[in-house]
Order: sequence, then structure tokens, then C-alpha cells
Amino acid sequence: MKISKNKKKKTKQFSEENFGRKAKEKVFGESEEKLKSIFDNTNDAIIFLDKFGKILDINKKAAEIFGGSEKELVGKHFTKTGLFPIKELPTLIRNFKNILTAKKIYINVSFKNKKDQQIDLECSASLIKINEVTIIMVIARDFTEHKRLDEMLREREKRLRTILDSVLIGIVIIDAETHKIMEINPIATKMIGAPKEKIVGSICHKYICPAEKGKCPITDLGQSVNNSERVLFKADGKSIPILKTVTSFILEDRKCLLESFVDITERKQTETALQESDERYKSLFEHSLNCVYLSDFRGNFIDANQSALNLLGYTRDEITSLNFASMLSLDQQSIAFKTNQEVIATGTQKKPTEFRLRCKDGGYVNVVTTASLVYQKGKPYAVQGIATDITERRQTEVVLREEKNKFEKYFDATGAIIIFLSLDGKVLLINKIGYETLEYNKDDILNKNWIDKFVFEKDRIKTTAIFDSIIREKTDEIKYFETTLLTKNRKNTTVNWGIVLIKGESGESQAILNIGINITELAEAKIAIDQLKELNKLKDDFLNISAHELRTPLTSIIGFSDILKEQSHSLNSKQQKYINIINAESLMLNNIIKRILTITRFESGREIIHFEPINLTAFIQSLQPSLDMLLKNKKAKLVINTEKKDIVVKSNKEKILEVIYNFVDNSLKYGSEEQTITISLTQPEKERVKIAVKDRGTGIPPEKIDKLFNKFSQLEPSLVRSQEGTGLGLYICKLIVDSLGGKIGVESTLGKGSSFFFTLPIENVATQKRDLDLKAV
Amino acid sequence: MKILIVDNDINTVEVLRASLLSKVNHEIDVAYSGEEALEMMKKNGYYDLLILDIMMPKISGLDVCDLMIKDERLKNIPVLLVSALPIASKSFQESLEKFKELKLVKDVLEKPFEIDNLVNKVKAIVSK
Repeated sequence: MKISKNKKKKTKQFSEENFGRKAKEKVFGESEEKLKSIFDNTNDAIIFLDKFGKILDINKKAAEIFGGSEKELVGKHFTKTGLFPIKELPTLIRNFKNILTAKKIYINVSFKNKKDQQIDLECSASLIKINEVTIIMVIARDFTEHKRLDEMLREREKRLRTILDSVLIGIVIIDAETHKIMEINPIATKMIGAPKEKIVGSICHKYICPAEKGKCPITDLGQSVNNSERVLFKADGKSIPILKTVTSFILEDRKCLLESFVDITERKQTETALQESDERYKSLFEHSLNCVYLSDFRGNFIDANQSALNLLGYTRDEITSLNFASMLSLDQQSIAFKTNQEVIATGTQKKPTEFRLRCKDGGYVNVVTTASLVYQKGKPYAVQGIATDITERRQTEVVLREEKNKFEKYFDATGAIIIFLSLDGKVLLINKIGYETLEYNKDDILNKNWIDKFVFEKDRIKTTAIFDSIIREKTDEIKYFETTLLTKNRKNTTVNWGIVLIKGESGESQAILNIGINITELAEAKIAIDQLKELNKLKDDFLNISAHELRTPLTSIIGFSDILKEQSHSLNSKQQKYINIINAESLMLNNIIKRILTITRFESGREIIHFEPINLTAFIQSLQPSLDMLLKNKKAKLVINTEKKDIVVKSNKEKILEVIYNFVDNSLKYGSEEQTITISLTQPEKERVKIAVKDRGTGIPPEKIDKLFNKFSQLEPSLVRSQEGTGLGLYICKLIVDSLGGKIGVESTLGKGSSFFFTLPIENVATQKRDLDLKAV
Repeated sequence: MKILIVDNDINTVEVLRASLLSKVNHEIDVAYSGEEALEMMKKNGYYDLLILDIMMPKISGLDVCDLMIKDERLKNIPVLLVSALPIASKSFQESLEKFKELKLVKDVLEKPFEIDNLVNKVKAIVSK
């Protein structure tokens, strides 16, 4: 501002003179030297133009900026100086005109000067009047350098931003005072797992090393750089290990912290895994039941685990002063030497070696060892040996042998024939029962071809086919078949076999296991059973025939006694009495024969029952007349009570009638003389109908009820029997009711009477109706 | 009325004849084997009823029925079969049904029998 005031002052005086250099000097004179000096030495370019645009004067700086001398420029119109590009000229002219009206304007002008340098000017142009002459003063400041610096800065920032954005480490810039996050790069954003907008502005401890709140190594502890493993808290609450570096720097007068960090999760994991594997190795080493030792290449022990120490009886300190060879006999030392050479050369040994080691107490242990090189940082540094104590195994072998003996005992003790055959059919193993069945010595059988030597000719083809198929199919299936064996004495021997393929661990066929049961006796028993069945049939036939043979003479006896009875008028009373007895007894005999035949029929399954739909209600009601016939000459009465509705069953009328007759007959025998016998038909259940015959009599003692329906039940107290009868009646009733699908039973009260009943199954209503309709058709 | 009684058991023949004679007034011939019965039927021509035992040596009652069916002159003679066998065997039942269907066998009488039962059956057959 100072300068411009001075200029004003100067220009005022200056403008009072005629224009042109000489005039100017004249006007200013010596006293004006100072002002001229300022004019010439100022850092701003000063240009005077007339109102038409012609350059009146320029100072040194202006000349310098324009890259030419005053002479080259003064007197020229500003558009004709050749400084400004043609396309810029209309803008400049327009601005120049604006000066004339607006009095003062500010513009930026860019051009290439005479020295071909890019120049950027910041100009302020004012309209001033000097001695009524309007002139234009332009004060221009060269900001080319500033702009360049500015651009450089911008370029740098851009580059920094690129680095910030593309670098593979997380970078966060934090205000050291407030600890607010000012800037964050994408990697860090990604690591934190939240949008940048959310992170920027937050307190750094929220995400980065919260443990250090108030203990910031830089701001609180005064360190300048920090390099440490820390934890980064992610937006989702998880944490990841990071390696962090913090640096402080000044940004725009503010102290900032630049934190850069990398995710070391993977490294951590690897480290942990390594550590674990190391620990695992240590644990394995220490706790292995095998003896593990480390020795140097000359056999000096470096370390040994507890198992090894226990086995040899040394302490860890003691063993480290020993050499492997010192525990061996001379001949074994050479083996140990060779093995050691092999291990050093190849890193391992092909076959385990067996050693006999001398222990501290002078005893010996047998071990099998395998040695290999162990490496540290890729270089072999020791020999690791793993030794298994086989002293016990030796003992175990003894136990195993005993077990084997035991197995062989069981093998022999079993009742089955057990044979192991090789795949080509030779006997590998046979148990005692096996060779005893064959009547050979064991050695006569072993290694012989089983089928050719011991299987009966007729069964050879079959047996061969079965063996071939299980070997071919490699099946696990057990095949069953029967063969007759060729025993030494050609004894008839039939064996029922179950055979199975024995496979090894990898599934390869090894042998055929044959387990057989000698069923010769069973086969014989089968024949015996068949014979018995045959005999039973013969018995039935015999009964049938003898029934015929018995009944033929009975026909004559009954027939002739009947005829005689008819002609009783010609007989005296004794004769009449005797002939009646003959007749009655022969009828009774016939009755017994009939019943025995009925039972035989039922029991042999030869009784055929035809089922047909029956309206039971109507059927039972229709029985009154024929049942009354049974009551002829008796004082008893008979009443029939049935349900009102029709009850239809699929059954057999004759058989139902036979049971009812039997029941009524029993009632007459055991009931009181003037009783009323009640026949009832009820339906106690939906699917069951009940027919009962109730008498009034002595009743049946409970202990006898169970046996009532047994065969010949009445025969038991035969000697005191008061009533006639075969004792087969109720048994036959039971057989009949069973065959009709019903149940038979009795309810009895001593002194009051009994109710004999049987049930019959009913089919559902729809079926009933259909059956009745069919019957009606 | 002419009835032929056939049974290999002399006594049974006698019981049958005596029973019938006591109750009905028919002419009665007797034969003691299947062959004899067939011979008599062929010789005498017509009978009103053949009372035929089933179980007989050589030619059984059922064999006689078979032969009668095949003979035009004999196939219309009504037969009352008499049997002491339990009449439950399947083959017997089937034959019986067959002859009943062919209207040769009219009824079956089980031995031993009561006179009334015999007479009733005979009356029932000859009355038709």
C-alpha cells in the first residue's frame, strides 16, 4: 500500500509533465530520483498506457518480465507487442475497455514472454487522470513462481495421496492434541472395516491401541518414533494384531501423528503354529511311550526323554555324558556304527535295527530303533533315535502263544466242524471235530485237496461251484449248503455248511472258512418224523377202517334188536327188558365210535366246514320244535330268548346245532328234573354274538371248570360217575366252536346251575346286509 | 315196487330186508357184491330202488354208481347209499355230490341205522 501511495504521489507529479522520458526526467528532476528508483526497483511491474492502449512507459521489472527492453515496448499498442497469444487478445481488449468505464479492474494474464518463458501476471489496472490526460496504470505482479510452487505442492500432495492410497500398509494421521483421526488411507479403512467418513473424526484409541489411552508413546511418553506390536480394534469388535510405527510431524502448524501399521495376523498364526508344533514335539518327545533320544553324529547323547531314561535307568544328566556305543556289546557296536553312517548319509535308515542295551543296573533291554537326522534352520544337527522296548513284546509273544493255544482249544472244543481252506482248495486247518468226523488223523487231511478227497462224488460239482463263486465275487456273504462227506470208513455223513471268504486287512482274499454241523442224525431224525407222520396217518386210516368194521356188526345188533323191539308182543317181560338193554347199549357204543371218529377228523384236519351266511336270530328261534323232541318224556321246559333284530353270521348251521344239542343234552343230564332250560342269543359286543344254554341244577365246582372242555374230561372220576356219557361231548363242542372262530365257556354257580355258552364272530353290518341279500337272491 | 339190497355183509342184508319187510310191502331182491348187483339189474331190467352199500370188496358202491351212469338202462334207478364210513373225506364228498347232481343217488343212510330212519328214507324216495 505504501508503494502504491508513493506511486500515486509520484504519478501525480509525473503526470503534470509532458509524457516521454525526457519530459519525465525534467519534471521530476533530481528530487524525483528516489521515486524513480522505486519505480525502477519495485518488484511489481508498472506499465502506463494511454486510453487507446498504447504503452507510454514501463519500469525495469516490467521489462524484465516481458523479456525485452523498454525501447522494444514503449510506444507500441499493447496488442502489438507480440507478447499475448492472438486468441487471448479479444479478452484483453474487452477488459481494457472495462477499465475505461469501471475505473479499476483486476485481471490475471498469462503469456509467453520474449524469452519464451511462461508468465502469469496478476494485474490491477486503474484509470487515472494526469493534467486532464487520461492514462491507465497497470501494476502487475509476477506470480509464475508462486503458481509453479503451488502446482508443485499440489502435485506432491497428489503423489502423497497416491502413495497413501496405494501403499499396502495402513496409514492414519492423527491430531496429536485431540487424538482425532484426521486422515486415513484405504488399507487402514479396510483393516478397520468401517467407512472412511465414520472413522475420520473419531478418537484414535477407539480403533488403534486402546490400551494406550493416556499413555500415548509419542504425546504422553515423549518418544519420537515407536515401533511395536499392537492390537487394532475393528468396527465389528474383533481385533487383529498389527505392527505399528508412529511418527510425529507438523502439518499446517498442527502437531500430527502419522501412524502406519501392517496386519500381522498371518505371521502371528504362523508363529503360534510354530510354537505349538514345537510344543507338540516337546510334548511328544517327553510323553512318548517310545524311547526318544538325541545324539550327536558320534553317538554322544544330547538328550533323552523320560521313557528312555526309565528304560535305561539313567538320569538326564547322566545320559548326556554317555555314548550310545557304550551300552552295546562289541559286535553290536559295529552294527550301530553302520547304521549311524547310513543315517548321516541318507537322513534316515531303511530298516529298524534291533539292539540289546545294557542298563545302568547291569541288566539288558531289547529295543528296536529307528534313527533319523533332525534339522535346525535347515541344517542337520543331531540324530534322533526312536527306540521301542521289545523286551515286553517278547513276553507278549509268550502270552500270545498261550492265547493261540487257548484258541486252538476252543477251536477243538466247539461242536462244529471248522476248516480253513486255501484259495486253491487245500486244507490249511481243521479242528478236532472235523478230522474225527472224517475218521482220519489230522495230518492225513492237512494240505490235501478238500473237494477231491473228502467230498462225496455227487456233491463235488455243487461244492466246486460254490467255492468258485465266492472267490470270484469276493463276497462277504455266507453261503449255506449241504454235502455228504467221504469219510475213511465210508460212513454216511451229511454236513450242513456255512462258508465265508476270509479277507486280509487290505481286502485281499486269503482263505475260505468252512463251518459245518453234522446233521446226519438230524437227517435221520427227519426220516423218523416222516415215518411217525406216516404212522399217524395209518392210525387215522386204521381208526376209519376199524370204525367201519365196528359199525358193521353194530348195524346188525342195533337193527335186529330194533326189529325185536317192534315185535315185543311175542316176548316175555324179561326178554323185552334184555332186548331193550342190548339196543340201548349198542346205540351208546355207536355213539362213542361216532364221537371218536369226529375227534379224529378234527384233529387230523380232515373235518371240512362250509361257511354260509346265517340269520342266527331266525335260526335259533326255529329250533324250538326239534329241541322239544329232546324233552319228550321229561318234566323240564325249554325257552328260547333272542335279540329282536336279525343277527347275521357266516357259519355252519349243522355245527351250531350240534353244539346246542350237546349243551341241552348236558343240561338235561345235570340239571334238576323240573327245570326250565333257557337258550339265549345276545350280542354283548359289536363283533361278537353269544349263544348260551342255561340250566337250573347242581352247578360245577370251580376247580373242575378248567378241565371241562378237555378230552375225556368225564372219564377222570369214572368209577363214581353218576351220569352216562363219553366225556367227549364238550371236547367236540370246543373243537367245533374253535373251527367256527368262536370261544366256548361256562359260567356256573354251585347249587344254582350252569350256563354253557359259545360265541361266534360277526362281520360288519354292510357285509351282513350284502350276505343276506345274496342269500335272498 | 321192487327193491334191490346190495351189501357184502350177510347180516346187514338181513337187517335191511327184515326192517323193510316189517314196515313196507315191497318185493325185495338181495345181492352180496357189486358185480352181482349189476348182473341182477341187467337181467331183471328195472328196480324202483337200489339200497347200495359203499364199502365192498372188488367193486365198491361208488364204482357201481359209475357203471350205472354209463348204462342207459340203469342210470335212472334211484340209489340210497348205505355207509359205515365217516362221510367226510374230500374225494367221497365230491363223488357223492356228482351222483346226487346226476340224480342217481337220492340219499345216504349211515350205518348203524334205526329202522324208522331207514323206512322214512325209503318211503321218501319211492314216493317220488
